[in-house]
Amino acid sequence: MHDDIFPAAEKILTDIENIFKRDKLLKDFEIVPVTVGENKSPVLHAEHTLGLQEWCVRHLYVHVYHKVMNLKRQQRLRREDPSVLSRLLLGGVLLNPDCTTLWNIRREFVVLGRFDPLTELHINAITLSRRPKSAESFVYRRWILKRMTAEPLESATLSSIIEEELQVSLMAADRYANNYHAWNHRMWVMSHIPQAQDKFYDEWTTSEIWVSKHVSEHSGLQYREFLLNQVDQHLEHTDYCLKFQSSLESFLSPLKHSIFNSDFSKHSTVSQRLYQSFVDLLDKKESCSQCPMNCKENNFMLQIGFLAYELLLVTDLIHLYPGHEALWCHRRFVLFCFFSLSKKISCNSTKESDIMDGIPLPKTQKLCVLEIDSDKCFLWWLVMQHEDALIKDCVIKTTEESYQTKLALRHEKWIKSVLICKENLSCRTQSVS
Amino acid sequence: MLQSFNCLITLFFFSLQLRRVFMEEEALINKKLPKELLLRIFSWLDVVSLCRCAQVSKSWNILALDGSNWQRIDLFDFQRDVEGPVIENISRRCGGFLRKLSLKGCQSIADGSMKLFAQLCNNVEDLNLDGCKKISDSTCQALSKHCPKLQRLDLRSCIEITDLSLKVLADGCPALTHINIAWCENVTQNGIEALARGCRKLRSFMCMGCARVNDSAITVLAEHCPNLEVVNLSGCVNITDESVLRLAENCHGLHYLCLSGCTMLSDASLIVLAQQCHLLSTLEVAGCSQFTDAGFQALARSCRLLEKMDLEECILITDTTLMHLGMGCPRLEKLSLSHCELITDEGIRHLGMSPCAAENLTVLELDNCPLITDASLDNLVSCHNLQRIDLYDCQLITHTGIRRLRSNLPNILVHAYFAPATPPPAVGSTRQRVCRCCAIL
Amino acid sequence: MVKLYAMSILYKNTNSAQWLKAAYDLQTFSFFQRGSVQEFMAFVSKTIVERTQTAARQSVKEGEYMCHVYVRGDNLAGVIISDHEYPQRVSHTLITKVLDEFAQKYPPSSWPTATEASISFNQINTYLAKYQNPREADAMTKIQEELDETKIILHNTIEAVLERGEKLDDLVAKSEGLSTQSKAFYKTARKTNSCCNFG
Repeated sequence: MHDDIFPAAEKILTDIENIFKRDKLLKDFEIVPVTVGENKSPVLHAEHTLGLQEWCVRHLYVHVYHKVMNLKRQQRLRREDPSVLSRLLLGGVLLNPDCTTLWNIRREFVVLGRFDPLTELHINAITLSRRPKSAESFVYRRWILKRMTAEPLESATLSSIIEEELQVSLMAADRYANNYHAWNHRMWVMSHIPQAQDKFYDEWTTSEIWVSKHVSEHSGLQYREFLLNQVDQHLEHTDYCLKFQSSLESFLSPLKHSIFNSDFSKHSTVSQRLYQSFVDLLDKKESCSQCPMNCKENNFMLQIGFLAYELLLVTDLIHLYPGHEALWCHRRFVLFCFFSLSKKISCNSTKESDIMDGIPLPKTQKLCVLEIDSDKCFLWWLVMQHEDALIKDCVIKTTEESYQTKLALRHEKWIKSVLICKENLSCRTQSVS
Repeated sequence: MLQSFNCLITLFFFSLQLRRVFMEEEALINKKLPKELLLRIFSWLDVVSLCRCAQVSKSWNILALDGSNWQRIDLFDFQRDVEGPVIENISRRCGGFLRKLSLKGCQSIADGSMKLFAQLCNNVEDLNLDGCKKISDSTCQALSKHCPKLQRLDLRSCIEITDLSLKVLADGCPALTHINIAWCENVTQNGIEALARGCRKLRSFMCMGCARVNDSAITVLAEHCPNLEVVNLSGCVNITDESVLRLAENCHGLHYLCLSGCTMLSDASLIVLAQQCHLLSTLEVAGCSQFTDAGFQALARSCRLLEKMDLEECILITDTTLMHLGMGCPRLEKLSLSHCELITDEGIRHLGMSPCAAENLTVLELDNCPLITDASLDNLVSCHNLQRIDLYDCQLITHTGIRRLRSNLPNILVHAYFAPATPPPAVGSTRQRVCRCCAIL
Repeated sequence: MVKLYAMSILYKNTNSAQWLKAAYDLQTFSFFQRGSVQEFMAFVSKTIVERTQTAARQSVKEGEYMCHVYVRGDNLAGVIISDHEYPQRVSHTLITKVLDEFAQKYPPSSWPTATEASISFNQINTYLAKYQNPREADAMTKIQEELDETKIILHNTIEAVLERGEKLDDLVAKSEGLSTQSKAFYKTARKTNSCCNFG
């Protein structure tokens, strides 16, 4: 019945499928805005990109949709000629990857062994190239991955799968602003495929580049928070701490200008030792060639290194790209990590602090403020020096009513009301104006 | 018929519930109808209905599962779900009753269950194992040993099959008339020769994609099986004119021949077919790029019963071929000229004027014939039987030309890349998403 | 997204502007549309230069894009098309820098007769690539202060830059620099919001 309306549909679908078969490196699918058709195939193919002219898209989808749904209704899907069915399903998911039914039929055929999982991943990636935010596509992708990784795989295959996943999620994040699904997928890969953990430090580097280019995106920054939360599982790579050398030094610079006045007898032993190694680090500047932090003995040092690096990165970005709330929110997360770390350091017991990084507090606890005695913790004192400087800087540099000023003042208020410290912030708005 | 019996069954269930009759002896249908008649009714039911009936009551279970109801079984609908034990149970139930079994697409079936099947159902005549990738030569050995009545065997895509299978079938199943070994790529000359010597009654032989088949295999086949009517050698790339010559000489009853993709063939093949096989009604020679007008001229002059011809990518043919086909083959019904790039309006004009045009021509494929213009369509207006015409990528064809053709032949299906005039209806039931930019704008 | 798409150097005559050099980075656009996007960016650059006064700076926001233009006192003009997140001051500093360098290499007397083909100024590509990441581009700390005191006039749409009575649609239709395909692209882009329909 519906064949009669648009007989070219099957031919177009075949053209599309042939390109998939011919070009194993195909990476993109797009609709080309050509609204008037000639008697020429609307399927274009160049540089591993598949294009489909717009005029046929609606007709084609209607054809696919009715045909598949009719087959399904009559329970004839399995009896249908596999070649016809495969091109229908391919066209269907390309044109509308949000149609769960089509993915479900594909699932059925994967279970039946008629569709190959690797090909499925390829097709799925191409649907994402046009609709990078399709939740259904990502769900299907994870379903396939779960099936594949349930069985033991060769390590080469596995690492190429991981590589591909990271690639796909980056592509999706690049193509659609605020693509939560893409980052969510990345987190899923990092936490569900154990071997992906090897990529931790690569991810740390890649995501820095990405967030520096997408300064208004919470989702990318959130992924970085996800990584920060895992830092303590990756502290054995001691050689990495060299990379934090310079950021640690800049982080400690307030120690050079102002003096941290405190009665050290009140400090925990950990805190005292840390303070000493910080001072050593600053003094022995010429002997930096070998790792001065002795990370194995003192994981705190590396954790502080990570956090300091992130804090300085955010400071940089806030200066360079004024007025992006996402950056300030991320900063709060970093402060929160510093905060709980300070608590751990300043209390003598080895018991885990009840403040868990990144995990939202229970409802009842949410309104409670968190307290720390910055007299007793030089780390927190250091962090506060940085916050002071940043807020001051933002308020001076921009005009009163600018968004950046508002964000800076809001940040100050947040610190004061949520992360209470006994020593008041030295920077007051009044003092500036 | 089946439908009405299914209704009857449904009605019966209904009455069963209404009257709350639990004692099966008291059910009216069991009281009034003798067992023989019930069995007869059951024999019309499909597999699913029979299995449902088997769950009704003890007596129905016996009746429904009676071997006589299970003479012809098609399990294609279940495919992967069909596991070995299913076949073993069916074999035990049906035994000698089973005549025809289709396991098309049942990939899980392996040799073990097929061996049991062969032992128990030794009257089987028609067995379809299309796509049962696990089965191997030992299935064929069992069939050869126990099933001498086997006439039709479909081993398409049973990729494990080797020459040994064909040898044992030749020994044990002399009644074979139809065999399909498409895509069994292990098969060579030796297997086919053995088969031909043992199964002389062969009428249909299909071996698409068996690239190792060669001239000497086909020669032996042709010499020993003179009854061959249907032969498909598509994709047997090593075949030369010699094979066609032998087939033509020996099998005069040949009416279906597919040689698509046999690129070594030349006009000599067409000429010998013209001389010997006057009954030929279907000839598929897609991609036989050496064929020329001369070959088709000869063919058209003597094979006057030709109905279906696939000449896709016979790139050397010109309007002359169409002229001869038009004159010589009045029954021509389906003609494919896809990618025959030399064809022009003139050739189509000849076709449109020929005797076949008005009476028989129903399908004409002209896609990727770049020289064809609207004038061709104007020349086809008298083909009143024409149901479908393919014009993909004929870039000189216009929308107007197609509209004119349609006004003359209102029922014709035109395959071209143009979008239909009517806008597509809305597609329901996909979940609607709020698009961010739509909400903002 | 922090991104530079195009940078061009033009010479502004009394009536029109002519190209001296241009560089593009269009990797983020879909493959089959890149050609049209490039034509369109060139068209916009030229149009805006022609409507900017001598010795003036303008920044025009159009959707997610920013177009920064600077026409110097000697009528040498530079245009950058970037994403709106790219820091505006960096864009203008870059224009100044590139124009200075260009003027050093080619004397003003050569500008009226020069064509894109006769000029080899590959630095423009290097700069476009390097400044994709303003954090790493050199002397970033200085950028904030370095910019001259020419005030940047801000506009919120391209239409605001056009002269009274001019319409972008008409300019597109009249333009010789845009292929028929690009004009069709422009029309569809205007008519339908391409992400919302199936197209």
